[in-house]
Amino acid sequence: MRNTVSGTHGAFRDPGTIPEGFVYRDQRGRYPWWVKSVDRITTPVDASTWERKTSDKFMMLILDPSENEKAKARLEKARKRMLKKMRNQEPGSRLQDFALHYASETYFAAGIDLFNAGFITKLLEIRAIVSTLIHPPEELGVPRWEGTEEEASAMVEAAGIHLGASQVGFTALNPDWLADTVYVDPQVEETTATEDGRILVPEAMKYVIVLAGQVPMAAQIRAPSQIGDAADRSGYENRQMAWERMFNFIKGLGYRAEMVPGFLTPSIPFALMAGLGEMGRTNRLISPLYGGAIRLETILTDLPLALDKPIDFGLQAFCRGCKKCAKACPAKAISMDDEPSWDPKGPYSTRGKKVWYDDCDRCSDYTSGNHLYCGACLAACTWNKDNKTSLHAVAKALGAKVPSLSPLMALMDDLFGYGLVPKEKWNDWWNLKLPIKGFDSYRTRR
Amino acid sequence: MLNLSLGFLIGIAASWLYIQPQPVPWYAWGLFASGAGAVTFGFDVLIGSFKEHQPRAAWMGLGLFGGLGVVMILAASGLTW
Repeated sequence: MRNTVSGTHGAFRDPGTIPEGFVYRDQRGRYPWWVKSVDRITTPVDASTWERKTSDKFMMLILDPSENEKAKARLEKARKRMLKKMRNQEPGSRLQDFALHYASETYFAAGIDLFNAGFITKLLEIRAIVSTLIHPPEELGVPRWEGTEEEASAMVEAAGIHLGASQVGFTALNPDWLADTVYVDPQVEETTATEDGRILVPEAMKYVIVLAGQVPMAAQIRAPSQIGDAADRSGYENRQMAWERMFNFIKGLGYRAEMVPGFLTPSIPFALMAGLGEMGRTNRLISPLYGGAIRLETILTDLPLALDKPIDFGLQAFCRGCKKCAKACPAKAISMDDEPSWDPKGPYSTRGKKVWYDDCDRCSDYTSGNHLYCGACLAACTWNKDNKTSLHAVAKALGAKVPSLSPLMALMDDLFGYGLVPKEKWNDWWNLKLPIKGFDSYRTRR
Repeated sequence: MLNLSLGFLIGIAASWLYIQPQPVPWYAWGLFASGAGAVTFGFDVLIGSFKEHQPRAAWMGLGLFGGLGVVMILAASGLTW
């Protein structure tokens, strides 16, 4: 169902095509030569069956009070299981591994006592705190920042990288991508929460800044373990920090900004439109630069920005033959089908897109039942490579241009020892000499 | 330092080919250049993969690309005798 309150639909011919009436950035130099800039996302979308709903089962468990009780009981069981592993000193489950996991999400709002405090309340509290640090132009007695859309995007991208994002992309607010509780409403001046539980976003907030937080590779490939979780949480926290800081930056320029959490403005469709990656077999975004090692968030703003375009690096064909993520999934939640499908899997999948739907039930049952965030599928992705050897540049170019080679490339990937680290080597992570935050950050910008 | 050493060794090998009393055919030069490229690539994978904490990829890369390069260089040398 389309967003009926919206007045910005005219710009969107169909949900996956770039909208008209906006300025676009020159996409040359953004990526290596084997990544094409295109006018439509590579995931087929059917506007007639498109479904807008809060589809994240994990968030549903938190938001629904009755489910929340069940989730608490489930978590308690998982906690006992995890403590047993800890007492047995199992690799990746020792006290230091567990401490690292939780330390990694110190400033990540979703990690704050998730089942014991209101998630939304915490977000609002954080926003209230960070808002005190803003000095907008009206306070300083100067006019707000003015410039062209291209200048604005270049400036925001530079700021985003400085503020902790590993990549920044820009797109327009397509109301169809929003969850069914969020609406674009030309009648409101400020983002408003209604008594019936809807969130109304002003029509002027039609620009979306997509921020990608990077996940440290060496820890991530030790999934599913507390060390792997430390990587996953670091990625979310990197994104979270960039998100909150970017909110302040936009406010500091004299423009409006909204930090709408990802389960209300699902980040992936906006990131696809902003050209940060393509949908992979994981049913999640895969980046040509970072593979599955990024975590995403969006900011809505009325600062006029030059938009980015979607990209095509052959992933739809590549994922058909690779299947490394599906083989790595401990919950068997990733599709092994050769072709993507229009048919969702279970009540937490959204209809209207042709993807390799994952089984959200299996995924969330495994993760919540084992006190883990897992991320094994994203960690195992063939595109998930560091860049210290030119082998990866050659392999990625080959994968993008001759994606039918993907079964062979997945085999070579295994032979070379890439992908998930075996359990007996998980604890080795503590002896590795790693860069600050676990990743080199020079791949960030054109 | 490693890149310098590699370049030095390849330079010596190329000089040796150049000073052969018999003129070296063009395809031998081509084979030699490809072999030198493969050896260099093998070392690039070796060093880079160790930096990435991927020791298996490091040795596989050296063995596969470096080994192939050595065979090509030896074949190029054989063509000159």
